[in-house]
Amino acid sequence: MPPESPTTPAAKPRILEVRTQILKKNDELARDLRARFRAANCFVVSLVSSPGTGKTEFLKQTLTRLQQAGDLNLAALVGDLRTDHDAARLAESGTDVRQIETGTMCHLEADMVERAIDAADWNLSDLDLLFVENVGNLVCPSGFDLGEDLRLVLVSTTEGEDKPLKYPTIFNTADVAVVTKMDLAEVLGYDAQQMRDSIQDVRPGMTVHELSARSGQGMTEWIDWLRSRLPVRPA
Amino acid sequence: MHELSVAISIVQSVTDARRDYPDETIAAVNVRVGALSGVVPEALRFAWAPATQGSALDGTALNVEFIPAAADCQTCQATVELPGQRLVCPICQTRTPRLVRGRELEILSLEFQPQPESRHAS
Repeated sequence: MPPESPTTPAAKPRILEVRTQILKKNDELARDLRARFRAANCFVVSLVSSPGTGKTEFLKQTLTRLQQAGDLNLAALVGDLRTDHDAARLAESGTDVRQIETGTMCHLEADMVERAIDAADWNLSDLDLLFVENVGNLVCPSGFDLGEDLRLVLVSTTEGEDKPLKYPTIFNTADVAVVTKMDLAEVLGYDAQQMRDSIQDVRPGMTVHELSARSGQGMTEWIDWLRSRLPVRPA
Repeated sequence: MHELSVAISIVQSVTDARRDYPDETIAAVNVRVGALSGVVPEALRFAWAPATQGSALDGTALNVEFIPAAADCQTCQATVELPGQRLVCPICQTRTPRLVRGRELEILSLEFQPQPESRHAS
């Protein structure tokens, strides 16, 4: 076979510019969801953390305190690969909780949230505050917008003060950091300043709440802060 | 391994984009991944084969361009490339929250297979 003539035009690569966001579909769906939540005046808070940080206990105590105040209508979605154990735990707070079993998926995506909301048959206008607990994972959820107003990233005192430096992307995409299990700080020799520095290094200016869902330390401040973020409800 | 979801999203977008070019065969897909996008280029390349299996993109190449993070440093009055993922200026050590590059997660282009010469068809 003779070598192809260098003048053969077919040898040129032909390129089609596409220029589109890879997660465009999720982004668009999340934008639609966010518009839906806004229109219904329903504030949405999502939670991400490693497995074992204490997301569920934190959320349960948050829901319990808000339910005791009794002025807000609450609901929660909770994602896990398997089981509805977390949904059952959270429901003890008296909140309407629905489980999203993700199967093999390591994170929630906007369409899963949308399907769960539609399946729950909630009237979003009746809800003031919806929590979405992501699958326990500090890597995979970061790129997927769920239409939330506020993304919390949780890290516990037991995980090491450099955890934010190891998982910078999730901290960078979150709005607020919550340090859990502060009741263990003393026995662990936990260095609060080092944790704060780690967080500020990956997300300068980030608000940090230090608390313990079990002892209640810092919970009042957290709830007050969360309330201050809620939109003013029409009278 | 969310890179599989990311790879599947690429396949869906590319499948949409090539609808206007039904006669073309795709040879490669070019994407851009930032250091702070949350996607690991190696894992994305690994996910490409399973994500494209059985689709029109089966057997195509995925070219991943990695974009290091960069931020505007107020102190240095300059755009500085960040060696890792800390938003800290490597020159003056000031925290620099204004990221200018590094979140990219984009499909840039498709490369079509060269079409065979039309052999002087009548």
